[in-house]
Amino acid sequence: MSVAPPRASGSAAWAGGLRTMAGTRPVRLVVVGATLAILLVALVWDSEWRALRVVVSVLAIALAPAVWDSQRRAIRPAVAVMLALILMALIGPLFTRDPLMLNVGESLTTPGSDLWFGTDQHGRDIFARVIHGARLDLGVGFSAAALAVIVGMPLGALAVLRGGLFDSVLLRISESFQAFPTLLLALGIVAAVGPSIPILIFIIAIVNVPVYLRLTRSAVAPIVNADFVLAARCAGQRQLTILFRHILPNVRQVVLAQFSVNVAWAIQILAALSFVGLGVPVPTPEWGAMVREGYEQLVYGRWWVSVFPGVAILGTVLTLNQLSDRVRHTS
Amino acid sequence: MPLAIYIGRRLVFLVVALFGVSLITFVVTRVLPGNPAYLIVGVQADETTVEAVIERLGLDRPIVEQYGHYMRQLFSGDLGDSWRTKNPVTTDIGVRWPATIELASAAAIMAVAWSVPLGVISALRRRSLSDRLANVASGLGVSIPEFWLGIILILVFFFHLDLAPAPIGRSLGVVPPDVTGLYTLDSVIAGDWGALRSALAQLALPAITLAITTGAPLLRVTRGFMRETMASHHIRSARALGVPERSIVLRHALPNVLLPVSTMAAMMYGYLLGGTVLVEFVFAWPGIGKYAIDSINASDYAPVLAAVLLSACSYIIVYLIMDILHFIIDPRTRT
Repeated sequence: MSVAPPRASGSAAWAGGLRTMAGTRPVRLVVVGATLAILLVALVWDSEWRALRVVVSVLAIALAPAVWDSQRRAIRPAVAVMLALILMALIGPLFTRDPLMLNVGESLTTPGSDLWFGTDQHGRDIFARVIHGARLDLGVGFSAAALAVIVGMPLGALAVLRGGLFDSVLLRISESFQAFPTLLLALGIVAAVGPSIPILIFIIAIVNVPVYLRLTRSAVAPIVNADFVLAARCAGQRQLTILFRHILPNVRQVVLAQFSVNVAWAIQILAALSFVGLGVPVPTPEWGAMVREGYEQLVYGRWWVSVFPGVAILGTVLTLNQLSDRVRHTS
Repeated sequence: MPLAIYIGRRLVFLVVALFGVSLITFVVTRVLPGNPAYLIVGVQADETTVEAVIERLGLDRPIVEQYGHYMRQLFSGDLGDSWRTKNPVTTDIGVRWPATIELASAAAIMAVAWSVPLGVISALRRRSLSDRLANVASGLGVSIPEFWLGIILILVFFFHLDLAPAPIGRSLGVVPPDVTGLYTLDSVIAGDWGALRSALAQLALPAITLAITTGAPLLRVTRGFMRETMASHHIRSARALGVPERSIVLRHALPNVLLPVSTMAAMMYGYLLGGTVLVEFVFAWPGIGKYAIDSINASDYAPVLAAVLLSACSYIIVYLIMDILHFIIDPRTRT
């Protein structure tokens, strides 16, 4: 691993340097994996690790030109909005008021120049809560989807490679899983186990594993007997090596497009669970829970309490879905 | 392959799928951490009560034996009792199931009515106004959280415009005599137009909410298939033979598109039968979804499991019916 010599100025130089630096596959995997891991920890960890969050944000800003440069044109707007959302989740909370601060004297203030989104029934600043909520919603969304990919993708590919009983049993199980309405299944599990953030991540991941399993299975099936796989097999490579080095890289694009959709789903499930009172505990700023609080104010015409967090969910999910569409179409 | 054999084979698959479904619900209750006995008696109960329940449920026996017991209960139609309503769960569900069916059916009809025609039109005229409209509608419809959409619709149509009635369930007083349990059908049967109006008014907003969110993916699928079909060889041949455009679309393209689209629509309906939870909650619609949520909030677990099981089974059965219909309609599946 060597640092590239300085070339042209501007974002292209940055991008080129980073690309060279992250040139070889194992290095790239480690870099991407570590970045993701730090990002998730920084998002979900329920503490005031300001220094970590600032460092991660600086990293994200530094990496942005590389992403920008390497992606095709059509993906750019969605990537830009997504980056902005992640940044908002990471460092936004440092600049707002305290989202938990009660202020009964200021309860249910209409949105204005001072309090942009108004306040809820306990006088808490809705703007601050929406910004803080981004951290939890994005964090849980990304982690749950990542967990589902990590489990579902190798399983799906393995199902094709092994074939036979292993394949049909896995397929039957995942088909049965998909007969359950996602939300109702998640509700059933939460009711049995009890809600907490790690458990929510785990549950949302479980209900999404079959999606990846079947997706990867259908993407791998046509290439499992391709010449390059046979060649690798003739060369005496182990099954796992064939799986990770030759087969999975070929289905990456499909899975990536699905990943983006899946983060969106995960956010919707989390918001829905919180909306019915089975997600995060009450004062935690989370978009679905905030919509629920506003639902009770609706009959008095106080629209702002639930409209703003709802717009936040809609905007995030819309961005992720657009990203997925674009990735799919440019492939 | 004759129809009877095909149906027989599908029924075998059905049994396998139902077995899988029951296995999953069993695993969710028994194997995951958390003691189901506490779910039944509550956390505050003393030792002896808990132990009595553990013994009654057979939780101290081997897991395979427990599963056998659970399956025997299922086969005898016993889904347990709800301690919140003091009724057997099957009775409670029998009362609430028609409400969910009515809502899901109305939503499915509306979803198909807006999304399939729009999908076909937008595939035929790319980059036209309707194509763009379809793009926006499907993009928003896929992304909008349905509970929030419901709230917005209530805010606009009930609170500001006063066009819709209050979102408090299936009817405002006028209940038609019970025949099918579907208020709209029952009031038509009874010839009670006032009740029909009331039932439709109550049904409108929740059904529209669901129709928007479930119609969006259907629109995308329809548009995709239609584009694919219009670019296929047999359409090109028909064009070359001078078949008029109208006939190309109606006779050569649409039958090919409507077949996969109908599968999607059936899947959507099957999904809706268990996917109305949030909307039922927002509009206080007394169906299975609201029953499940109310039960969860009261730590009453048997109804939740029953609701989960019921919706999974109805999905599988709807899917099976669609498969058999395809076999009858589409000659290609019969080889």
